[in-house]
Amino acid sequence: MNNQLLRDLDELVSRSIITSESAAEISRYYDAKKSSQSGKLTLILAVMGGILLGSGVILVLAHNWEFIGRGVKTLIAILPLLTGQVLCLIALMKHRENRSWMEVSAILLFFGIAATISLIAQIYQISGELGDFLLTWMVLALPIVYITGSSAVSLFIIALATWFVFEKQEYATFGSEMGNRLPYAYFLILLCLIPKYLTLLRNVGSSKNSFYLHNWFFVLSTMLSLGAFIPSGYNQAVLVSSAYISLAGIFYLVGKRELFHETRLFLNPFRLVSLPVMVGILCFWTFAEFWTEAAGRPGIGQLLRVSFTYLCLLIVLIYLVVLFKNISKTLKTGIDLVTLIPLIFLACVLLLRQAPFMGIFIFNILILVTGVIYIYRGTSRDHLGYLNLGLIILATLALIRFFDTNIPFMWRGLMFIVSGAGFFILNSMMIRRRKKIIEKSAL
Amino acid sequence: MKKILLYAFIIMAAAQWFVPVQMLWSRHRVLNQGELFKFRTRPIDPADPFKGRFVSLSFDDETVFVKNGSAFHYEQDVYLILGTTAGGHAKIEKVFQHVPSGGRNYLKAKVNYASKENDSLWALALNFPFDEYYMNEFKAPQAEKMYRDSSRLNGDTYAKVKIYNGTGVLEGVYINDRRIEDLITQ
Repeated sequence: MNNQLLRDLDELVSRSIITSESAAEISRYYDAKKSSQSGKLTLILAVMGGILLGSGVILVLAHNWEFIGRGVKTLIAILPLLTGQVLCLIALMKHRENRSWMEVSAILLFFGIAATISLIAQIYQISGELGDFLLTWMVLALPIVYITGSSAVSLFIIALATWFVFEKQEYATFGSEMGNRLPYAYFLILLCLIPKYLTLLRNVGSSKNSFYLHNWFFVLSTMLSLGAFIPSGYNQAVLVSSAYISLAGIFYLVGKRELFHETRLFLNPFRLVSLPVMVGILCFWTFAEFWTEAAGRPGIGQLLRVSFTYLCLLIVLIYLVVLFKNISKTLKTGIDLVTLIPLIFLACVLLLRQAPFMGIFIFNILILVTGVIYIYRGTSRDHLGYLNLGLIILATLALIRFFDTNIPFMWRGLMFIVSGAGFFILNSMMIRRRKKIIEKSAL
Repeated sequence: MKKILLYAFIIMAAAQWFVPVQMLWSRHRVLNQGELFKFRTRPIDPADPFKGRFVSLSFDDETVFVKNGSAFHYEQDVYLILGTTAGGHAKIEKVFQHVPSGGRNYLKAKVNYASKENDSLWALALNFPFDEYYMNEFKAPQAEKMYRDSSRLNGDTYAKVKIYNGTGVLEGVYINDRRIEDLITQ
């Protein structure tokens, strides 16, 4: 289409529709756009190449070439690290402005660290825990992020940190000595990446993809890792749910910031992940079993001896601070009910433990209202994403009530019919409305 | 700016070399100066995503009987003085909670669990720090089979380990005094 436009420029100038200056400007604009797009493609291909090359080297060397002597093997073992460092140095000295060079050399160095350490361990029969190895790898790779400015390595480190938490989790058991030895190094690693994230945030105009990818990795990593922090045997549904719903509440409030107003829904993981988490937890607590189990749990004294309890309390506290700061700002424009879901949840599980039916009723209504809010947002803003998110929430509510034997079949059936019909009718209404708008504008 | 980056790079590169060099140096010292022990073992074949295929070794003599079992907990570091049985295999002679004095060679291990046997005796299950023997990816599965075949005929399977100042380095796994790799090649 751009080529067609460029071909038509001469004709447009000759017919005096646009001036020759405008034609030159249009031509310059498309030239610049084309070169920036091909630069991005080169970068993506270079990063993919770096990842494949690095992982390939690790796999080839993991074969364990036994016909090679220990001395030669040691020399081969140091090559991945040496090559990565030499390439990084060349990139730093000669190609600092070339993002592809910087990213690829950084990725190769990142994998080089792992390859060399693993090979030395393999050659010299050094046993060790995978979790400790991952931690060493992350610590040694962290400076690469700042020296080369590599976003790919930063993303790899977030992924490794998540893996590290799950590796360490199996040792943590509630009530044992290990119950308190949780992998808190995870937080230190994430803290070390905050300056990188802030740099991406400042330059969001020029490095949009890296910024969005960091958001996704950060949100998914923290959500998943929180689960791994729970010591096994720690059956504290109230605390675990409070921590999850509060973390989701914090993310939801972050996702509402101005920065994300213009972005598409799938580029806003803060919102896209936190909403299902909040609704999911509310859904769990619409079952009476959760309430009865929560009533018969050990006393606060036992819980205070476990460090995970303090982590839960900290997350709840952060949510409350962020929420009240946000409320004072949004008093005039109107408060978003979804931001209050964690607060309502906390109040209900604390105050209504003796009257679970009340809590269950409130949570059902809350899920219903959230669904309706999103359907309203979808229709009023002509946003299919919001509309379907709202419909999915309503469908989920209908689905979980399917298993609720206390509700008559008739009502359950009606709920399904209404939510199913909602999908068809509202989506087709919106698509028809869009078509009409296009037709009108064409006229 | 370029100079600062260069200095930062040099520091980073040095730190990245420190870990493998330290691993190499400490292993060389143990192999050159360590005392040799033979631990009776049972190899099985798992894999590590980075280091490749290995045989996981569980040892026959990883449990020791102590009187104060309640003083030990999971993952606790303990220090073992080793001796040799009449058959030439390693056996634990004493367990210490701190580095033993007297200049005797010792091995640092970790506590797995302590279970009460009777009123005065506890069985202390330990984890030795050399439980992974890295092998060629095609030979590791065969090693496990070879051990199973040999154990049916009461074969003697053991790991040769050099021990020096708490560290143990695996030299090889043997079945009836022959290196497992050589047996597989046959």
